[in-house]
Amino acid sequence: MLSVLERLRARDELRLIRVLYRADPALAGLWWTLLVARGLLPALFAIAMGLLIGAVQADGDLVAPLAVVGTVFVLVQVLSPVHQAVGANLGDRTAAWLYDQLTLACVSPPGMAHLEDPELTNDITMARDFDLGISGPPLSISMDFIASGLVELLAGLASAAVLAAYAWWAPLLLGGAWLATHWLLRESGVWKDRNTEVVRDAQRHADYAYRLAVDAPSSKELRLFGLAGWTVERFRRHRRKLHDLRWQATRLRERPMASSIAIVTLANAVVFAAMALDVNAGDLALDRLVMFASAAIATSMIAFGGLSWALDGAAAPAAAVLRLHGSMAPKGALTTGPRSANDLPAREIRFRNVEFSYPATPDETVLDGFDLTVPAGSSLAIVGRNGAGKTTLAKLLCRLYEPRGGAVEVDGVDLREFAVDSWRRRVTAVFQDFVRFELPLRDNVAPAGAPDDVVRAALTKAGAAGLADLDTTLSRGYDGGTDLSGGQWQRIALARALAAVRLGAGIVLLDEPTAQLDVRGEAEIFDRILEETRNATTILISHRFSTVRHADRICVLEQGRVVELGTHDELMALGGRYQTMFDLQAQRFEQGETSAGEELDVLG
Amino acid sequence: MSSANDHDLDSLPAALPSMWRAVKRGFAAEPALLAIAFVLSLLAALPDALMALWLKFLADGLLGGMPTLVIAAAAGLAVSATLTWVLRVVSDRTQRRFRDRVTIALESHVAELQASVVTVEHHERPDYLDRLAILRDQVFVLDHMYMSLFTTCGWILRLTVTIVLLVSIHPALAALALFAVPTVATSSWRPAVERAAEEAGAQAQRLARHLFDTATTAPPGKEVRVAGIGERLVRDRRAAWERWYGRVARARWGSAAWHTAGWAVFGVGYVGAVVFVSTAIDASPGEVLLVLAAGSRLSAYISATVGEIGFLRGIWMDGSKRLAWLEDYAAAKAEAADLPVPEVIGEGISLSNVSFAYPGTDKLVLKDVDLDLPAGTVVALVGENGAGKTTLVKLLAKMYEPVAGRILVDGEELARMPAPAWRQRLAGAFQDFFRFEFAAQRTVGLGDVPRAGERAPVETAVGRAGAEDVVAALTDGLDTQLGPTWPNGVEVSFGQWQKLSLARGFMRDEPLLLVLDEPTAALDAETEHALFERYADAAKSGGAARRRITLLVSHRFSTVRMADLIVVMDGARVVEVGSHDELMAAGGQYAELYAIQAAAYQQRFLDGR
Repeated sequence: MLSVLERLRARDELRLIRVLYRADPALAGLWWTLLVARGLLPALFAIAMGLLIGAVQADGDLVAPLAVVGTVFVLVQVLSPVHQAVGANLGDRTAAWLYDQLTLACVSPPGMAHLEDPELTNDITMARDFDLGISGPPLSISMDFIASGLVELLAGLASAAVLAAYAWWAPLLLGGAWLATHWLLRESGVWKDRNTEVVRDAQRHADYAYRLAVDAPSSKELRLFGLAGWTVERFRRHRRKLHDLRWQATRLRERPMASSIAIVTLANAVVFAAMALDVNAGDLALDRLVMFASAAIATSMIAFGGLSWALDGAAAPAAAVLRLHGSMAPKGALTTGPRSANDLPAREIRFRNVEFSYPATPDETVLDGFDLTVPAGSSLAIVGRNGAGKTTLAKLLCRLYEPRGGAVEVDGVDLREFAVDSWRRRVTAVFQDFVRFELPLRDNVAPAGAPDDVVRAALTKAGAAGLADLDTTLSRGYDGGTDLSGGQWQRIALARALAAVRLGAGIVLLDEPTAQLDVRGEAEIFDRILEETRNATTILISHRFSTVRHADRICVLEQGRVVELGTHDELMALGGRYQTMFDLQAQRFEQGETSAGEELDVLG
Repeated sequence: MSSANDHDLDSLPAALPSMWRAVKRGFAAEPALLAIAFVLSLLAALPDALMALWLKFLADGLLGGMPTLVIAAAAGLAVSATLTWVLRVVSDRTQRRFRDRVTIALESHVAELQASVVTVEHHERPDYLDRLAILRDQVFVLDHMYMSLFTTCGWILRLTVTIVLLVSIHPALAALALFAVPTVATSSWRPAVERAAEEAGAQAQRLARHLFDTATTAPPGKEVRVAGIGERLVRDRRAAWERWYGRVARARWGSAAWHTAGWAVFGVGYVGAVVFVSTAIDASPGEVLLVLAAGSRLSAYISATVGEIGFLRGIWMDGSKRLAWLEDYAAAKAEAADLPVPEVIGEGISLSNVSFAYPGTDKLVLKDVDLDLPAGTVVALVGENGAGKTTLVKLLAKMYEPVAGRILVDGEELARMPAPAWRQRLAGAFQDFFRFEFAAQRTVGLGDVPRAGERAPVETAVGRAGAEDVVAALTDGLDTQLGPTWPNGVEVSFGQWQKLSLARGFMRDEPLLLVLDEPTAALDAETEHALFERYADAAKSGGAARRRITLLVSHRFSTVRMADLIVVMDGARVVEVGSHDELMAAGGQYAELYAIQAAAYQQRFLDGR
């Protein structure tokens, strides 16, 4: 009893119950109603049996008691499959509701820090995967386990209540004994300490190894390097550890088990002996004997029922989702003002003495005293070694993070004074790891929606006309879907930016936009992109100097600072870092002067 | 592989043999636990089934005035109630232990099967993906199946005892079991319907998951915010989910209706049986009581048996069918390999008339390709996007088998060499590399598993890939955990990941074939330059390295031109082969592409003059 109350008080379970209602009030209401009905029926059946046997003994009219027995009996049978269907559907709808909440909590904050915060990682991992059936059954199945436990508990209690008509002490003794088993064996029931670091670690390593073995992205290297055996062994080791931890925590302990058996045997012996003595003394008639003996047997359901382990498993992720809902918003928040960014920038974008490090790694300074002005309507190329902070600049311009010091200014106004949405409507970006939506081509070009002619025009300009029908899904995992090569995807990503420009974006960020394009593609497309974006402020990050040189100005970035800035010709004349890097790439072409000379003739 | 074989692999194998295979697998994994768990679940069935008999004796004792019988029956009830519980608790525990053990065995088995299928076809075909996705989710329930099977046996034992008790009153009562036929029928038929609905909705489910991943992970989060499509993702995810749910919920409601109808039939039979004994055969109240109690238990047992069978059919049989399919599939893909992989390549690798189309499609990605890759050369593959370059690399790594034609290594068929042994002698890096989120040491070291833990080879590989700067920038050097979602894990940039992947590709010291599929697209000029200079030097050194073939896919002609042999691909065919000078002289497609890229640099060259 104590343990039941104790666990009822634990808030996670109560939260799950509230979530059931919020996910689908009608189904949840029906589920509870059926649960209570199923819980009361066994006690009613014991009574009906007594009545019928009494009537048979008395040779009385059997129609009424038979009708009662028949009705109760059919209900017992019929309610169970209906309850199961209600529970499965309610479970799925609840999982969908929780996923909705989690998705909302992830996309709502304007910043990004909440998605990368190490403190939230555990909750996110638990919340993201809870209904995949990896760490436990999905909710649609759990609901049935939960229902069965509660129905049995209720049926046992209701039967005990029937016993009260026999003797006031009988339900207390028998019901108490069966309830006591819950308390005595509480250690072995639910795994309470499963949220420790060791457990989580084993779980995550096991899951990661499993995915490594079965998922597509790792499949090629898994085979090339012969990692199958290694990763499966790793999975086995961590999984085994996880199971052993659980087994240790919940194994059946001898003394509580012995006490339970003693208590239960004693209580049953006393109750049934009392009944036998009353019968022999002639104090208990057949109809009442049948009623009470059946009820006494059914009381044992108290021990079989209870709060299922599945409830615990389902409640923890539900609670994690609700917790995340609260904790993500402040982490992903940005300072923002009321200003509209329409038609900006008119004059310039300026990074003024910007200092930055990622929230997850505050000790690693990425930008330090960074100063750079980009005139509105011009193009700027940023070059520099890997890790120099190039992509970070693009992220800051998109307002994905706050600078730690200094400011990004638009026409002299701190970016933080603009409404985030208004500013982002002005910006479009092609990141290196652009999203490959498993959606129709149309949505890949215009995820936020655009007229078909804009989509088509953008595709043509990006050299991706005729790749596929606008309605074709760009993944082979769907009927009629197709797969694109790396270069083809890159054209789609460029078309995405061009479509945004046509819809009014004035700032274009291109992070390695041609890395996967072939030669002809790069030369053709880049000219067209520059032409399309000539009225926009364009920032281009690239390793390809053939691409970079087309920009109005080029900035060389080193360790978070600008070391060179100027036009291609100016920087070449300067003879610094830029010239060294450019020559390295150009060298190969210049080596064979004869052949190079011939080619120039070919080009005319 | 023949097309007839292909057809066989498209359908799932039969249920019962599949289940038997799964049982044998469980027995092989944990024989003792399986036997104990099975016997316990049978024992647990007995005291429960005898309850109806004790009740009858109790009534008989009361009516016949036999105090001893009353006491004995009451004692029987008390003992049965206690024993039922004790045996159930103990058998549950044993089963759980068995399940834990067998789950690991099964999950490892599934992971192993998928990971060791030599080709990657199953990662790219929608129908196989659907099937595997469901199996993956079902692995959790697969272990439940053993318990379910034991429980079913327990229920069947209870059923038998109960029917014997009923027949002891009157043989006609055995007919009560016949009224259970409809429920048994619906229970064995409906789970398959529900399963089919789930499978039909698998694509909607996959889309919902993709949109969910897009919305809830950091890398796509950038674009989600810039494009302002957060709300759209939430909406579309829900809509895709509703499409899945619509089908599945309909199937479930249908099942509930059918089950209800089935049980109503049994209810009629039960009431009929009670009427029959209490009026037609003029039975004693004790006998009526036995029929009442045993009949109601009969229904509980049938319902439990049927429920378990439904579970078995719906999930276990289905799961074990999928598992058997995967086993068959892996076995069918295991090649008849009878040739050893050569120690050193003598002459080279040649492709003769090789054609290829991705499974499930008709379009040839490679068409009658004839090509010689001489030992000791650096071969560059160039061509526009979609010309088949990556596919050629995949065929050479045995990720796929050609549809037609042969690949020969020193004149021997590659198809007859075992894939694992062949790959042991490969090395390389891909454009779409995987971000292995381990400590940097391991992320690189996995390129040569036996030496993954050793410092020296990893450092050498890091040096070969020019990734010293990446390692130097990490707080704990090679011991730094990569991937921000891990405790103390750090995120590194795309280009840094790429360098680490390249280092991984350089772990093996003496590969026969090194494949580099655009491994430097995200690298900067200096790194790329240094890398290829160093690489060219190493290739000129002695030993097996001298006979190594390097296959390089690149769009950078500055890199391509240093290759000994350049292969130009266009529209699934090889159109030009030769050295840089030869191809320039020929004035074909290569010369044209080279000119376009060179012009970007040589403009300055001209200006300068």
